[in-house]
Amino acid sequence: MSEMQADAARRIHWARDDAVPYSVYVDEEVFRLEQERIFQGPVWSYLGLAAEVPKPGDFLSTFVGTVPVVLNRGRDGALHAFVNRCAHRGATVVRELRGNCKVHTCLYHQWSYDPEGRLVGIPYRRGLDGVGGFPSDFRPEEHGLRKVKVASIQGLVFGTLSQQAPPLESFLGDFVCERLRRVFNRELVSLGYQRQRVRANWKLMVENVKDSYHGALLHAFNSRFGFFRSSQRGDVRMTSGGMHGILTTYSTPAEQVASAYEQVATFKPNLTLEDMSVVRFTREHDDEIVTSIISLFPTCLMLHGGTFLIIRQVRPKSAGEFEMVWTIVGFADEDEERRALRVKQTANLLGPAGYVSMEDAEAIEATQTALRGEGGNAQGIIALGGRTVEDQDHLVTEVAIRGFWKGYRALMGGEVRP
Amino acid sequence: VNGLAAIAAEVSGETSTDVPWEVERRLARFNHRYVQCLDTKRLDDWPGFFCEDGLYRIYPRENLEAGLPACLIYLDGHRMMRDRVLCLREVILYADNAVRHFLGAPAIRDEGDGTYAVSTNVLVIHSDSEGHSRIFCAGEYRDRIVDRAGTLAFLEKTVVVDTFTVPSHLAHPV
Repeated sequence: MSEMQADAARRIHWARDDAVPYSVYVDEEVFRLEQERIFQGPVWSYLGLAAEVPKPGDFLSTFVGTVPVVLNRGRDGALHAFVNRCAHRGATVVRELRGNCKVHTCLYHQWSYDPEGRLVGIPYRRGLDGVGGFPSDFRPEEHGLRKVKVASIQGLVFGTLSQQAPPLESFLGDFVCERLRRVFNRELVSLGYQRQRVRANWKLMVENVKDSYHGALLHAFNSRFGFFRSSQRGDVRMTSGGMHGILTTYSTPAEQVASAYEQVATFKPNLTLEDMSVVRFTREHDDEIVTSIISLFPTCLMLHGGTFLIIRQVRPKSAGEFEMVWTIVGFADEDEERRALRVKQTANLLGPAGYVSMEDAEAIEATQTALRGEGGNAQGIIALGGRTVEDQDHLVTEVAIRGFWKGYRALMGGEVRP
Repeated sequence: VNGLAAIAAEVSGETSTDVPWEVERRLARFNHRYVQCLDTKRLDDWPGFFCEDGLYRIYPRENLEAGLPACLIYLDGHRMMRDRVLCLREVILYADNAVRHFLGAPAIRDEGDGTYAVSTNVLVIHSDSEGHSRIFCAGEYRDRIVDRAGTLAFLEKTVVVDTFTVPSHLAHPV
């Protein structure tokens, strides 16, 4: 174990594999190590949809961890990505969220770059009136923007800052690739974005999505309208040793559900909506899968079910804060009626204002608030459905959360030591 | 995308203040009563500010500028508005902050037939249970208000939010 890894291991004491030490959510030094070992480590981070940058010169600004990155369609039609930091003095080069241009020019000294990130212009390179200028051995081709390696699957574009990352499809694993091919089975289109700033650690958000336990308990809206229930037939499948997880629910007779809620305090069986159009879902694909909740390590969270086709990107800002960007996705070949329904149902149920999702932000902020002060060796429990990490044929389990932490420890250099 | 051209046209319409001052005052007072209703959390009264089939939505400036339709809230008619109130009262757990709305002066365009396009700057401050205040939202109301036999109602209220990254979550209407 290297000295750095020993440091991290000392900071965080993993006493059990069915528990999470709370310091991992609040320690700023851990946050810094995560940037280095996870986000700049051998993983692939979601950058955006190929459909968001359809034409040569189209670009969008995003992040890999805390590193600002630009995804750019090159003049050659290929996808490129680079770190958004001028090779000269480090200023932000691209300052718009999205756009199209032939050349990116840094505001500070007007160094300019092409859409592939190559340095193409340096003011006063040869000096002015015979004085100054860069040395004659200065080679512009060595001073492009730092490249981010790009790969895509089904129109979803990922990037990595590491030379050690395995090929994208090996990183994701066969089961995840199969599901992505099923869900994103034709040309995509972005219908827009929702964003929220949450005062909590980014990992609490990732865990929330891997947590099938809270769905029927916290979200009373869900349980009443049959959108998601723990008792629904479902399973958890993982790839890459637990890093990535897919929670799937399958169609099931409604009568199986009623008895599971008798002891649940948040269940409001007397609730009725006047306008049912927000919960009137039609299936997208002709199979028995109702919902796919896909979480890709480290921070890409996808939801597919009914009219929902959502990609969430969690952008860590500090140990105690993240931004989450929701991309509302549709298919290029669908009619306007279907798109309008996606917009309406997503706005009312999901996102920062949705009847279901707003509670997640509230719950994890309540968690961060409680964890912030104490320090010490306090830990949270993740033993629902056992203590180990293997696929399970039900959803009454926290196994996908245990899988996440197993992958996290492997990259961060921590081991379970009782 | 559905109604997108219409959305862009509606919300970017030219406005002026060359309507009679009595009209300006009535319209401004109507929005003032609207935000008082929200600040005092009389949510049951909130749908009554809209026409029966009125539209309420919160629209991120990011999407407006990109020409994309996704909203943060989209409520089409009194029934959906009452459903939101029911969910906020009975179903959803959220931070029930103290809320203060601050409005700018309205810019108005008379569209004829007793209908006015009105845009008004809005700032919303939230204060939590420990007395900490923060800006929750800066934005603009883009309203279409109709005068029917002396009673004003929103045909449409679109809140274009500059604060398109929502602090935590968005529960109550703005």
